[in-house]
Amino acid sequence: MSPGSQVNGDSRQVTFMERIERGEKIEATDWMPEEYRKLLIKQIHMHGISEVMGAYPEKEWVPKAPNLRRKLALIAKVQDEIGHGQLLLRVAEDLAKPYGKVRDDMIEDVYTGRVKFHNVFHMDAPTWADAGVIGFLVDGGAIITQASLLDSSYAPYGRILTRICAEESFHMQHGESIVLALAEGTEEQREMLQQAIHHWWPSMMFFFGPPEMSGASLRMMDYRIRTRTNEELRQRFIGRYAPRIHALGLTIPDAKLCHDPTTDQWTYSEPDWDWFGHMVRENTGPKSQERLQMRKQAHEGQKWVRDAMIRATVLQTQAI
Amino acid sequence: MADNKENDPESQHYDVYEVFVQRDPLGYHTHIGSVVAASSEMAQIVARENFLRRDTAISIWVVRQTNIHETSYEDTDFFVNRATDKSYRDVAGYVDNAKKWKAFKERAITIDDLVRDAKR
Ligand SMILES: [Fe+2]
Ligand SMILES: [Fe+2]
Repeated sequence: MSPGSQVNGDSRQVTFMERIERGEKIEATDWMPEEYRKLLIKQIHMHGISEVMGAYPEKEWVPKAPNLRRKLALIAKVQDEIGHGQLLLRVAEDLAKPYGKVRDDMIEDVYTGRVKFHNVFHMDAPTWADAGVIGFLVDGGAIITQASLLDSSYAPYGRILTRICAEESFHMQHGESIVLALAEGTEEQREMLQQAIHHWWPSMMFFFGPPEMSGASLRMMDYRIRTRTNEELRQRFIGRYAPRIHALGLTIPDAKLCHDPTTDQWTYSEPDWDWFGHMVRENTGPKSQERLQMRKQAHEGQKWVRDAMIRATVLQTQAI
Repeated sequence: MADNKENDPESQHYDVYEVFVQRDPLGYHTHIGSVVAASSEMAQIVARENFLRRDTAISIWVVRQTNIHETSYEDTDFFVNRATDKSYRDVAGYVDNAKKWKAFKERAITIDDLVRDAKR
């Protein structure tokens, strides 16, 4: 790595990289290179928006949950995901302050196409088993990613992730609970679960990103914003979840999937990188447009409430 | 701070500042107590003297007490919240999972296992 490469002679850049290499944590109020700030905004904005969009596939199942307890749990999870979005956007906003970005911009960026969200939340969730498998595999994958970010060089991000992970532990158990109930259920329920596993597995292989990481991702590794490669995270995911799916007596739609005990590495079939990549870039997934439309409608439809609140506060201060 | 006799030093008093201390880089600022001081800079110095004579910390926030907007202790919503069963929202509400995994001859895992994985 060559610390001051792009800002030659800037001693602040050199000092900053020395701090990073010593494992020091950076605060919002510290000086930071613009590249570091922009990478953080990109990462945390995308993360926050993905939390918000992540509530949509599951929210669709709230009215159709099989019993009251499941309904309450699903509502609780949806609330958590929206809450995670709020916490993360707050962290991103502090970073984006020099660019004059506020909450409205952060939110609008998703339906104007300026920020992307995770591939998994573009997908449809046709059955109740999908609602369970989202908690099982998608939250499982998200936890593996988030756990690897707990040690991020940017302290406000790491701090908020500690809180988020504490809540994710419930998501994990909630998802597994639905999956286990179906796995020990009727043939029809097991078949529904099997279909859902097949439906989500390729998405999960894409979720962690390509083995050959992009320039921006590599720079994030240099800055220790993240410390694990895409492939390391994917390997951990397969290592944890493939055996669990097999234990349930279910199959994974990948004939190549196998574990090499000597290297502790899994071989797997590559997902259709082009298809998923295009879907995330252009919002062309099965549910992308529908959910973006709902997001836009929610944001714009509530505008009068936000405006009224501001007007009320202004009037109140004038009265004093 | 003082009323209309602002110019009379005899009738002016220090402001109260609430003190929040952060102990380590990934820790939160936690409320620890309050001090009185003539300025925010002085409040930081006094806070350090009062609360950190032995303990170590990496950052102190002082916030003028009048800038703190607290909830009322009479607001019993917080207790009502605790009275309803929220086990569906907690890991503790899903203890059955472990038994079920066992029936499938698989070990149950928790988020701590995944966090430990990340540190490997
Ligand atoms: Fe989340
Ligand atoms: Fe979650």
